[in-house]
Amino acid sequence: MKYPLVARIQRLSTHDGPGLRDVIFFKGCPLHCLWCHNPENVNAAATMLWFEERCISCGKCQDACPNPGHSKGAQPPVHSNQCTCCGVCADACPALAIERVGRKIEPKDLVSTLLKDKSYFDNSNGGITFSGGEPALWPKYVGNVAQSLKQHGVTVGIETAGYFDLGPFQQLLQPWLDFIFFDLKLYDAKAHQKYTGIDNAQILSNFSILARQMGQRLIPRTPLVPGITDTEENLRHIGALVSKSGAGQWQHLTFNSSYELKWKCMGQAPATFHSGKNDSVNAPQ
Amino acid sequence: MTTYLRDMADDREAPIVRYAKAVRHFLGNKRPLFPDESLLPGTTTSKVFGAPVYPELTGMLIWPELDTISNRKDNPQYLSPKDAAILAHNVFPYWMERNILERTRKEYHDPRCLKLFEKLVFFITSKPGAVSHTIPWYEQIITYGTEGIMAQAQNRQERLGAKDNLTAEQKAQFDFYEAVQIALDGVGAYSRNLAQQAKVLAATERDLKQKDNLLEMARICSTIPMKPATGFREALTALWIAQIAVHAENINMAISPGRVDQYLYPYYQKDIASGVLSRKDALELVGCFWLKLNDNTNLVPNTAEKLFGGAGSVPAVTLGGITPEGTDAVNDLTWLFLRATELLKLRDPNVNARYHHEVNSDAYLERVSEVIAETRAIPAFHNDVTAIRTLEKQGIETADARDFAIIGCVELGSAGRAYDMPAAIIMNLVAPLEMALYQGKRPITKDEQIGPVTANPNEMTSFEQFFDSFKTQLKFVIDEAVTLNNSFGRIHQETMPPALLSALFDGPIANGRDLSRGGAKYNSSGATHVGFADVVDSLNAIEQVVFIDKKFTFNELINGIRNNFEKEKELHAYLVNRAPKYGTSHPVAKKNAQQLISLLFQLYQEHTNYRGGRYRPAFWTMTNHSGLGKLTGALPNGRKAGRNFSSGITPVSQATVELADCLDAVAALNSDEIPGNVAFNLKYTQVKTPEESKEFSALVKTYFQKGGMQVQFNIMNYEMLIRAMEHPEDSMNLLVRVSGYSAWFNDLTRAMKEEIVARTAYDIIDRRAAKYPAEYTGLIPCS
Repeated sequence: MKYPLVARIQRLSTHDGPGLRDVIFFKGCPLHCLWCHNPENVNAAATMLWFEERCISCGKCQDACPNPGHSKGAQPPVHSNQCTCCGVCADACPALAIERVGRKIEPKDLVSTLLKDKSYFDNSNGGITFSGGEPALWPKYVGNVAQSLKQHGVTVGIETAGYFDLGPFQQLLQPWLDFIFFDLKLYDAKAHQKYTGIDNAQILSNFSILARQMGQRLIPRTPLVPGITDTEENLRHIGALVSKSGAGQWQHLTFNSSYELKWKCMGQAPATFHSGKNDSVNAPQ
Repeated sequence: MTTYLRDMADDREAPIVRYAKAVRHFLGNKRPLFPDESLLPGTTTSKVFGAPVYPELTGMLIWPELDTISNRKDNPQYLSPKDAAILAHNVFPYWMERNILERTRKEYHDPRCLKLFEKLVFFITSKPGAVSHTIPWYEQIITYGTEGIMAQAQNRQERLGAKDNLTAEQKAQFDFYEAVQIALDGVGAYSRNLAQQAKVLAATERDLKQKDNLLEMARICSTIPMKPATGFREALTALWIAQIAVHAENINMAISPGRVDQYLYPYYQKDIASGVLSRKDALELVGCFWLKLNDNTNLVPNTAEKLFGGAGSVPAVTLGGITPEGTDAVNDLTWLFLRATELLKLRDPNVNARYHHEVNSDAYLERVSEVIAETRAIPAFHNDVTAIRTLEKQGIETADARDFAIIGCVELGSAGRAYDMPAAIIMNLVAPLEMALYQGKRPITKDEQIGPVTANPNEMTSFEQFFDSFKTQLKFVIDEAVTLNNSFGRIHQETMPPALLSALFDGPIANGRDLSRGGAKYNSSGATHVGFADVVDSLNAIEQVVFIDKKFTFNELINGIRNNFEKEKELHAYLVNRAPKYGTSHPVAKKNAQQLISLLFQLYQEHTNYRGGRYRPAFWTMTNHSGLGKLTGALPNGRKAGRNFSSGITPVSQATVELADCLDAVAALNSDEIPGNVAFNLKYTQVKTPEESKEFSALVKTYFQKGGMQVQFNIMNYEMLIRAMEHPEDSMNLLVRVSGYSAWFNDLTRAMKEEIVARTAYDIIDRRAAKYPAEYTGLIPCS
């Protein structure tokens, strides 16, 4: 079985389904949205983050780096082309200013970790939500974990961008899901290609099929990105699609600037967005 | 009191009789005041809102401050020049050599333990402040009236026979019964004076409603609390007059009315059923009672303001939970008391909600949560399951353990039966830690060899060696504190035994012994601890960094803390970020936290107090963690010099990012070894929507199921508290939870305000530590 890397587990979250939920973020996403709120989870391999405000400039990371080609600069070596994301510098940092995102967890270990919070779930009608990245990229692994959780009486949901092969999903993962949060970002195929890096045909097709099957248990969601997805035209189209799909109540996710820090920690400039015309995005070079 | 004892008392009489006569004299001459339109008569002090002075106890401490107390910077207390002159010339001189502290000094030849206490930075024993911190058996006075109790005492006294033929022990019993009758007579005298005064005021009152109110109070006070109460208002009046009277004899520290929703309920139910009382009227009466409990505060010398800042007199009331039979105790009156709490948002009484997760309803749990969300701070939640079990393990019968209530801050006591004095000792845990680091010395007391000379840390090869040193020093300070407390206790027995309070208790009358001689059904003394989380984290740091990771030597660590980490940036970063923290799931942190809890339990339970009860450890700190933090240098957990310690049992500010981790770590501590209870402070950014309130309830329920004992909240974010700190004029009504009690934010010292600001605030959405404002990182103890 191909193992995904787990980026992090957020315990007792409240906005990812009913009640108190533990949310598991997997690494790897086929989309590259300009406004991505978890950009460190896009790459399926490990990713290095550097939290500049925590750094005490002690140079331990430079000393520890096993890569002979790395540049001895003022900054930790994590954003250079030479970086192999081995994480040795993160282990050496006394200030926890460097983080290696992505670790392998055996499914049974993940299940036992999550079950520690079962009493919180039971008291709040909560449970587990898989998120990412794109959890549906890993139907076998996620399905395996979901099945075990279901057997322990835990409700399971997923947050997906909808771009995945439907066959394995339906076979391995869907049977164990109590609900799906399904992102519908942009209706227009060209715009979708432009801002997320991929075509939306498969997403729309998956949505229609799953909505018929899951009904109210599939909840369509649209992030309101100023000037991009929150345009009247886009929302009207998506609204029409949702209303004839049989899916549950459409949710709008408000946009906030919390994503900027993570882009900076990855050594990249975040895009900025302004409401108004479609072209108001300042994409980084 | 002073006038009687100085000029009128017969020194040949037994102390208990003489003291009871002083109480009767005081109550009989106490001014009957009706300062407002309250439905309840009388006041605790001679002022509308006042701080009683107990010169025989700790009141003497304000002698040097008589001219400054009205205008000092922190929480000034107004003292009129006339009152100051009375104290300085008529009162204090008499008590100069007769107060408990000086009597103890003389009797025990200025012992080492007393000198250690007077340094204030090792431990404090509150015994000079006397008999206090308890839950009287007010049910008794409501049910039987003072006359009924006096008859019981008289009966038993007569059964002893003529005084001349008695043994010494029987004579003491005889005197005790005599004293009970004298003191209770004083209560009646005060009440009759109230009745008389109400009648006088009614005669000239123009407002018809108030006139009726005064006449009604006159009617009630002419028979209550002498005779048994017949209705709800009578019962509440009896309770309130008894509470006033108890303060004539005992200091106003945490004299707690206990389970008011239980023992008042039969009267409420009867009046509601017969139609003489409506819920609305009952709510008004309850509201008046809440306000009355706020009519006094502690007299606080300047130093004490740093240690017990902003506290009122902290009378605790306890709601809900289960009955002695084990059934759901929540009733209509519980809901009324919660409603009054929500409407009035008062500092006192200290409202506590018991919650039994197997018996009490979700509706009750959610209602308490709503009140917390609305007031942002009260009530505190207590876990019935762990509280009852830990009391049972202390030898309390099951039905009595189920009838526990909160004393003062958070302490547990079987209501009306257990004389627990849970605040006997306030122990600074950082003292033995430093003494283990510096071989029995502390930086603050310089070269003075305080404790035994333990091993030099630089020569240690294992963490266990260090822990042994710590244990030795801890045992030393505990032994000293216990010795001192027992000495104070014996002086109390001999000089001012409390006959009145004993009369309002289960045990003394049957046993013929007052409370100070162990007359209560159950006895214990309590010790609470300051700096728990800082000490655990320091132990973690030593174990992990020095002995497991071997990243830095013990020598380097000690140099770092001596230099306050001025140059040791890397060491400091490593300690703060890499050393295991209490409040997380790190195995070293979990082990050390539990090990310290177990050690304290074992060390205290070995000791018996002067009343024959055992010592019980607890973890609440009032504002001692701030005051003592100010005086303490850097610590191995990375906390810098002069910064606040953590409050109660709460993990160090910003040490634990995830709320779930934090709850699990606190809940994991073995509550059977914490019979005194804990104060666990949680800050939450907001609880607004019904869903948020439900999830908030679910968190409390789960924390309790996992074994958590207590939790109290501040529903506030950083920005709001910083604004309140910078602009006190805009936050006149901000009530905050300190460590076991509530205080007006503006009454707190700057350091204590900073401590509350810096407490980790958990975000409502992701239950992780909210982003801390960068410009205030200097307030974080380990930043």
